[in-house]
Amino acid sequence: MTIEFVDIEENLRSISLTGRLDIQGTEEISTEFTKLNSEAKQNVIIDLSAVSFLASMGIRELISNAKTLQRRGGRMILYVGENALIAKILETTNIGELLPLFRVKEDAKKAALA
Amino acid sequence: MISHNPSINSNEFAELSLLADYNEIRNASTWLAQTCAELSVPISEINRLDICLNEALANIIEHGGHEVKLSPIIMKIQIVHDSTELTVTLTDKGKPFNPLTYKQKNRVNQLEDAVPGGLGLTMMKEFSDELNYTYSNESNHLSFSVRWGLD
Repeated sequence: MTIEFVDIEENLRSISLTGRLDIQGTEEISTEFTKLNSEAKQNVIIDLSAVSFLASMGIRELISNAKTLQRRGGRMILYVGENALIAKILETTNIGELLPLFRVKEDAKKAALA
Repeated sequence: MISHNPSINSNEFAELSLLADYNEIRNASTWLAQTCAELSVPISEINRLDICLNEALANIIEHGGHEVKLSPIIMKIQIVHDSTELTVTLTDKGKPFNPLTYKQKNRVNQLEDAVPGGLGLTMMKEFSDELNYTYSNESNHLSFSVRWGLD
C-alpha cells in the first residue's frame, strides 16, 4: 500500500492511495493518512482510482478521517475514476451518500473548490 | 498457512488451514485468488468472494475469543453446478458467533451521524448470493456462495 499527496491549491490537498486497502493495507497507511488529513488546510480529495481492494476496515479509516476533517470545517471528497469495484463497494455500503463520490477528477476538484 | 488442493475439478474442493491472525487474511485472499483462477472463475466473482472472505475472517478473529486462537481456521473452496457456483466454507473453534443474527446498523444520511465500523455483515450480504451459518461439533461453520453465468 502506498500513499502520496499533492497540494493542488492552498485549501485543497489530494491524497492518492494505491494497492489493497484491506486490514493490513489500512494499518500500513493509517498513521500517514491521518497526519496528511489533519495537516490539510480545508478540503481533501481522496484518490481511490488505484485501490485494488477495499475492506470495511479501509472504509472505517475514510469515515473516521472525514468526520475529523468536517469538525475542522473541511470536506473529504472521494474520486474513484474508472474503478468499478471500489465505486460499487462505496455505493453498496452507503458511503457514496455520506461523502461526495466522483468518477471524473475535474468534477471532484470543482466540487472541492465550490 | 497450509494448503491442500486435491486435483481441483468440478464438485471437488481445495482446503487451507490458517491461523486466527489478522495477518493471515491477506494470505487467504491470495490463495483464494490463485485457486479460483485455476478453476477459471471470472474475476468479478473472485472479487465478490474476496470481499466476503475478508469480512468473514475479520469477524471470526474479532468475535471468536481466545478459543479461536487455539485451533486453525479451516477454509474450504468447493465448486458446484457445472462450474457456475463456488462456495467458501470457514470452520473455526472460536466462541459460537452467528454473524447472520448480528444486528446491522441503521443507515444514516449524514456524515456527522455515521459511526465508523460495522459494515462487514452488510458487505457479506450484498456481495454473496447465499450466506449460511451453523454450529456443530463445537465449531462455527460459515459459508458464502457466488453464482455466475446464469443469463
